[in-house]
Amino acid sequence: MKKLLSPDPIYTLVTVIWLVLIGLCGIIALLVVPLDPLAPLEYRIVISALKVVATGILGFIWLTTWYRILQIILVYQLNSDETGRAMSSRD
Amino acid sequence: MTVDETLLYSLGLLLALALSYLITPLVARFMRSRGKIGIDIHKPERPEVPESVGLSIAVTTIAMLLLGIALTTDLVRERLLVMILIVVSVTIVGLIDDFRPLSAIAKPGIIMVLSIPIAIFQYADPYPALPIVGEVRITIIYWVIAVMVVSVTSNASNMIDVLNGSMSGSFIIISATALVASFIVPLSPESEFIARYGSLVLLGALGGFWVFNRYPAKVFAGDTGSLVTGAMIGLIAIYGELEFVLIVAMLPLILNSFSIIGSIGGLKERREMKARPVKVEEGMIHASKDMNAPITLVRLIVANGAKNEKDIVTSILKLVAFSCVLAIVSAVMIRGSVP
Repeated sequence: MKKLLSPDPIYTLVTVIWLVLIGLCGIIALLVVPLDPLAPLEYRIVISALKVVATGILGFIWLTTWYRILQIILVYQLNSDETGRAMSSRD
Repeated sequence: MTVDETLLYSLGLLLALALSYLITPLVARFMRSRGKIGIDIHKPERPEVPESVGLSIAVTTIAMLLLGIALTTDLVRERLLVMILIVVSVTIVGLIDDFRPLSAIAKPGIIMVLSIPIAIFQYADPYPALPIVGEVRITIIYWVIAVMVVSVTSNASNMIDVLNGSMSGSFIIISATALVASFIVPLSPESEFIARYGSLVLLGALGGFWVFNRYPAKVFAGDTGSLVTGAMIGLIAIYGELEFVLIVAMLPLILNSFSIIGSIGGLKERREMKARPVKVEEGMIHASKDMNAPITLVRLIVANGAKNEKDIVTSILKLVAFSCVLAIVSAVMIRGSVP
């Protein structure tokens, strides 16, 4: 019963990544503020570039976090396999 | 959708399916005669299987896209021509790689260069629709990203093609998702045709191939098949305006490719890897305990216990199906965000 109820960590990871992506969209919605077309060109270029950089940094953080979580899941899964085998050999 | 359109799309799917089903054994015979044989290392008896048979996917896709040109308006024809150009180029790269292996960096690099026509001709809509946000105006950056997309999706497809039917099965589900999403996300008439016709063509091309590639495989796709499949999905994402939806649908595959790249410290050839991610013992696939080994989706799946190949492929396909459900939810959210 416990095995049936415990979610596979990979499914949880994919769901979390998707939710983070949706969250990133929300943040992008805040960043995508229309610029005043009458504002100086240099100002518009700098603000646009900063928005792209901010989105890029958020995307990089998302990828790095994802990769770290994968490492944790792998170690957990490998350890649970060893524990399972040790318990069954004692039986 | 009108009756005529339903008929057109249905015929497209059936024709692609039939063409792929008929061509695949012929290509397999041709590859075998050229000595292009691979060993199925995940089976105890290690059978010999013809490789690069994914050429049948490429030929079917190109033929159907050419047929599409005859059936559509000028605006769609322009997009289809660019798609054909890129698919043909990627097919050639795949064939070269299958017969004279390219380096791990050269392959995606070359595909990125071959995708430059997307940015040159600019037939795609540079306002991708995102959930919550709606359409985002990113113009110049869009073309830079679009050129990379085909390379990323091709690479992801290539990296999941490790077990019988894992690549073809996954992309059948993803193509079907693109088709469903094309009815949910508001699209321009041109993008609507590309999204629907393109996904049906790919669905048919892969369906006919999958009959021979599923477990136990009688043919392998090779880089030719996997790169073309990934490229086609990338092109559907761009020209069919389904960028976000297909990113979500491909999450497990993107997860697989980026985790491999991250864990081995960049794009490397197999021979440069310090350790293998899995080992095969009497038909059972075990996860490597070596922490220097790359983190792959297969390694994650077998990490808590060895499994046979068929069960692993089923797990991969279930995971892809799950992410495709999330992709459809994303499509509904996009529909709600776009006025």
